[in-house]
Parts: sequence; structure tokens; C-alpha cells
Amino acid sequence: MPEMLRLGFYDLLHQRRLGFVLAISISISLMGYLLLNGYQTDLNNRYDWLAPTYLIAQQSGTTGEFYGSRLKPVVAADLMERGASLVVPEIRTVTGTTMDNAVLLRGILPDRYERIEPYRILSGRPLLSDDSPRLAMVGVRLAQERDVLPGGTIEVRGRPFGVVAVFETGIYSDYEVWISLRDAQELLGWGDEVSIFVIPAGEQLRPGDTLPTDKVSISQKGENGTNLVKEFQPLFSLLNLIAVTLGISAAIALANSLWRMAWLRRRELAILQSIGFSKWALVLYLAVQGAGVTGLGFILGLLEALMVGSLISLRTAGVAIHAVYDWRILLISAGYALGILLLSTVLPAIWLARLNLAELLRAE
Amino acid sequence: MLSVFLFALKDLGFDLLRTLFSAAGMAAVTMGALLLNAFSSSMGTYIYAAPTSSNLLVVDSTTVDPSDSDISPAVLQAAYDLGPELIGRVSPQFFRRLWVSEKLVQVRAAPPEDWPSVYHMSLLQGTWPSGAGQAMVGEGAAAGNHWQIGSVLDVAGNALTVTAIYRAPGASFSAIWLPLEQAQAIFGTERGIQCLALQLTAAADPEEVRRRLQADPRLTNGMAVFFEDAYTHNNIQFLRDVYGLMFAVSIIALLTVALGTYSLTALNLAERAHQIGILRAVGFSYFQLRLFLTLRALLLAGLAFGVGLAVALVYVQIQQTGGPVYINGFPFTFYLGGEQIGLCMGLTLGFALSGAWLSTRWMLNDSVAQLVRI
Repeated sequence: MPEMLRLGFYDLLHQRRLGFVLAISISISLMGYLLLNGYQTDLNNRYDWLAPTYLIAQQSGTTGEFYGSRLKPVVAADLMERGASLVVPEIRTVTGTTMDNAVLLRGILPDRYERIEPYRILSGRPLLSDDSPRLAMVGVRLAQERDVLPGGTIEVRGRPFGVVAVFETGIYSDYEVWISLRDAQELLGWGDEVSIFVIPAGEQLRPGDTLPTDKVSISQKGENGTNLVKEFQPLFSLLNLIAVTLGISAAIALANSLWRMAWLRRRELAILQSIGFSKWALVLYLAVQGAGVTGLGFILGLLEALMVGSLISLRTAGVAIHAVYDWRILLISAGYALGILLLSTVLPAIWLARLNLAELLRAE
Repeated sequence: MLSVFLFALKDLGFDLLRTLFSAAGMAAVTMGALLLNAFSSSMGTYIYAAPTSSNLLVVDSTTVDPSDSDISPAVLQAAYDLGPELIGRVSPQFFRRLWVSEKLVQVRAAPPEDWPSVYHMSLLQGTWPSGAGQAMVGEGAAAGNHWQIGSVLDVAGNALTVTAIYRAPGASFSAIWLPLEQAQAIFGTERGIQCLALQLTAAADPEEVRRRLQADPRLTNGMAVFFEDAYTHNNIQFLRDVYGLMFAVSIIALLTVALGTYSLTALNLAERAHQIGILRAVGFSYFQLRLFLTLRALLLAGLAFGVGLAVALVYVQIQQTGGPVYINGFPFTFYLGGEQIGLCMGLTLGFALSGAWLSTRWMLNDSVAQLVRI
């Protein structure tokens, strides 16, 4: 067996230029697969989550957790009448003149938001109910994009706000700027209106319920995000199909090359078989070459994906979707590479095993 | 030349199974690139659409989505005050982005008399909605959601019957439209107008009118006047990003054709070094051999492209039958036209040519004596 490993390895070294070209071919398909999964992971991490302990009341049919919903204060009274033990108003909208400079804006009640929104202060201190106007907490991704820190200022809808904190949630709110509800109402000219009310789950009101006041519907907190993710599903399905076809193409190219490289060595391989080497040795000979090429392709694909992912982000309404690579994606991609390796090794192995040994020995 | 071509053709036909196996690998790539092009060309219709309107649009420029814009009566009056010699029509428009049948759809409303003239809408089926509980849907929305005349839509808890299917340019293609009066009856008159579309007269200078209205002191709180097409183009950054990504991926995918051709030709040369030496010895020139190998690679790439194209066309046909694919509220219909096919074919053959050329450049440097000894 070690002899076959050595033979396979030396043959690959002999054809190293070809091996490198095949590795690049595999790396391209892997890069596509990694990028696809990377973007999908970031999209899912940021948007696809549900907060089981809270519901929201928003204008029916809207994506009130992002924009588009406007409710009057009377809705809060209605919610309490229907048994909500806690009613927290919030403003959610997207401000900016274009998608490029859009900012997700949240107006919050400083004394209540901590109860409903888990976050981590990275620097500075939280907004307080007795704070002076025009102060803001900035999500970490937005802070990085705008290069702001506590003590600095951030412009929202053309007006400067003093930054008191940079926070992190791990979801899309890392791109948000949080200001007091009063500031938000004044900034937007909304009077006493808000976007949504957050209420506890597990009480009388349930997802799907509607209130006649202002045509309000109740939904799970986070549901708007999961629905948005579903909107992108057809795009990811198409890209997934492309990534898989590229993988199949790479596997066929590698199988073809391994088969031909083995064909060039057919006489030597036949002699080895005739003196007692099993057909598994033949598989090993092919597998070591396939593994060498696929392994190099995997490393190159990873580097390419890291490079392309750092250059291209998908931007939609204030949120930039980046390619994110975690262990799960690396493992899935390793599985994808293993699939290429298996397909490219098994096909030529079956092909070679079916050939007549006597004829192979006669080959010149 | 013809003899070399026939020789290459016969050579490919000699081991048909291997030829088909090699072509299958490349066909998968070309199919992928064609599908990406079919999809991105659909996006291109929004990104690179020719101007369809010379309307001006008054909207809150500080809101990314017009749903949050709110036109006050003072702004409406400012538009009317420009006078009939400059403004043909002032069309107040209601705009929301709502979940209808589990899809995010634009719900718009304007006075019915403005539909054909200001919004360039034409009736395809049915009758324009006029009474309560009636709506019309764009042909994109109808195809994507299998909505027909008589279908009942749940719009923000209101049952609306589809009375018409219309055709219109841009994103309106996939929207739901109502008479303005009815939208305000359902959603209320507060925040009842999100933007104003102004149709200019033939005598008006659009830039001058835009500047005059923008300078009006009644346009406060972020209200701005845009050319309608420019506004739409500014708000499709997401599409541009995806379009760019898809185009880049399709080119990179086709690059693997060059790599595949390189490896196939290199192995061909390694396998046939002895025969090539004999051909050189009996008088075949370096150029003729290179031509043979290049033609062989091109024929293989051409075969692969044909197979890839056939599969892609079937896929596109299936996608078109199912209606447009919705992403972020925009409907996309896969489209593979002559331009996309020509581009992909050109790139496939070009990459195959470069792969074969690079491979033969390295491998044909051996002398005849060296080759016949192998």
C-alpha cells in the first residue's frame, strides 16, 4: 500500500502543472460554494431569528420592524385593555437619501428597552431616561462603517447626535442607531405616533390576532426578518444550483484527468496487480492524486473566498450582508470537497477495474 | 484547414464516450454561466432601463422607502401653484409595501384618470377598478402569484377583488393598484399621500421646473423633487450589488473552461507524444499540430456549449412557465436572448482557445527525436 501511495504521489508531482490547473478549477467551484454559504449565513444570522418571549403590534401587512408602520398612542391603551401586561412603543424606520447612506433608525424608551432587547455595550454607557436630547447609541457595524466612537457624533437625517455608546446584538440591529423615542418623533415629525408596540408573549394576545384600532395585527417579534429571508430564498436556490453544477464539473474534470493519468501508467499498474496488489491499491493510487489536487483546491478556494468576500458585500436598506465563514460552513465545504474527491476517484477506479488485465499487460 | 478540421472531428468521434464525458464537465459550467446571465439580464432590465418617464417626483428624500414619506397639503398646493402652463397633471400617489399572499408587494393608489397618462398603464384584461373592494394587479404580479380576474386579495385585512390586469413599466409591473379614494377609505386620509408625480407640459423645461419647486419654502422636512427615473435608479443599490456579483461569478465560472481545456489538451499531448512525434517526422508542421489540437478543443467546447445551452433553455422555459421569481419585492423573469447566448458562447470559445493555446505552447517545445522516443 505505501508503494501505491508513493507512486500516486510521484506521478502527481510529475504532472504538477496539470495538478495545479486542476486545483484552481476545483478552487473556483469551492469559492462559489463558500461565498454562497457565507452570504446566506450572514443573512440568516442577522434576520432569521424569532424572540419567543415577545410579540409586536404593527399596522397589518407591513414590515413594521423595519419601516412602513405608523400607530397612534390609542393602540397602546387598546393593547392593555386586551391584557398586555407590558406595552413598549418603538419607532423603526430607515432614513437616508439613497440605499448607500441609509441608516436603520430606532426610537426607544430609555427606561424600558433593556427589558426587551438583549444587547452588549462594547464601549460607552447606555442611554438613560434623564439624558439630554440628541444622544444616540450606535450598533457596532454602523459604528465601524461611519468610524464613530463614544464622544463623537453621528448624523441622522441631517442632524448631529452625540454618540454615548457602541453596542452589539449580533443581528441586524448592529446596523441601527438608537435614539430616544421623543427625539425620533421630533426628528421624523411624527408627533406622538410610533411604528410598533412590543408586548409580552404568552398572554391573551396571540400572533395572528388583529385589533380594529388603526388596522393593527399581532405577530411574533422577529417574524418580519424571517419573512424577508424567505424573499431571498429563490436567489440562493439558483446560486446553490450553480455552485453544485460547478462542483460536478470540477469532479468530472478531475476524474477525466485521473483516468488519463492512470491510463498512461496502465502497464505498470497491471504488472503490480498481477504480482498481487489488490484493486483497492488502484483506488489508493487514484485517491492520493485526487486528494492532493482537491486538498490544494480547498486551500486555494478558501483563500479566494476570503478575498472576494472581503471585497463584495450586498447592501440593502441600511444593512450590508457580508460573507461570514464559521466552522459549520468550513465543515460543509469540506464535505463538498470530499464529494468532488469521491466522484473523481470512484469513476476512473470503476473504469480501470473493468479493463482486462491481460490486455493491459500487452500495452506498449 | 478543412483536412485538419475533419481530422479533429474524427479524433473526437473515435473515443466518443471520453469525448462526451469531457464535454459533460464543460457543459455543466456553461449551463451555470448561461443561467446566471439569464437571471442577471432580468435584473439589468431594472438597472439599465431606458428612461420611461419625464415626470417629476416629490417625495421625502430622507426616507429610503416611500412608505414612510408623507406629503402635506402645503406641498400639494406648491405643486398646483406652478400653474397649468408648466404642469399638465399633479398626481398624488399612495404607496405602501405590504405582505400580500406571503409576498412583499407594492400597493399603490392614484386617481384613476392619471393611470394611463401619468403612469403609462394599459389595460390587458378586465375593467379598471372603480368601486369599493376592487383592485388591479400588474401582469408581473398576476403571473408570479397566479392571480386572475376575480381573485380575492387580502390587503392589510381587506378583501379586494381583482378586476383588471394591467401593463406598466418598472416596478409598477408587479404592483397592486387601487383608486386613491379607495386606498384612503381603507388606510385613512392621514398619511394618505406618499409622493406626487408631476406630468409636465411640452412647453416646460423640466430642470427649471424642478429647481423652482425645490426652492419653494413649503417643501420642508426633507421633501425633495427628483426626476422619476433618477429616483428609481438611486434606490436599486441592492439589485446592482447582486447583478455585479452574478456577472462576476459567471465570468469566473467560464474561466474554468480555459482550465478544463488546458488540462484536457495537456493530457492529450502527454498520451500521444509518440504519435505527435511521428506526425512531426512525416512533415506535419508545429502550426498544423497546434491548429489540430486547438480545433479539437474548440469543437469540444462547442459541443459542451450546445449541451449546456439546451439544458439552460429547458430550465429557463420551466422557470418562465412558473411565473417571475420574486426577490425583495421585484419580479424577475429568466430571459436568455441572442445577446446573452452570444456573449457566453464567445467567452466559452475564447477561454477554450486560450486554454488550448497555453497548453500547446508548453508541450510542443520538445524535439521530434525526443517525442518519438517516448
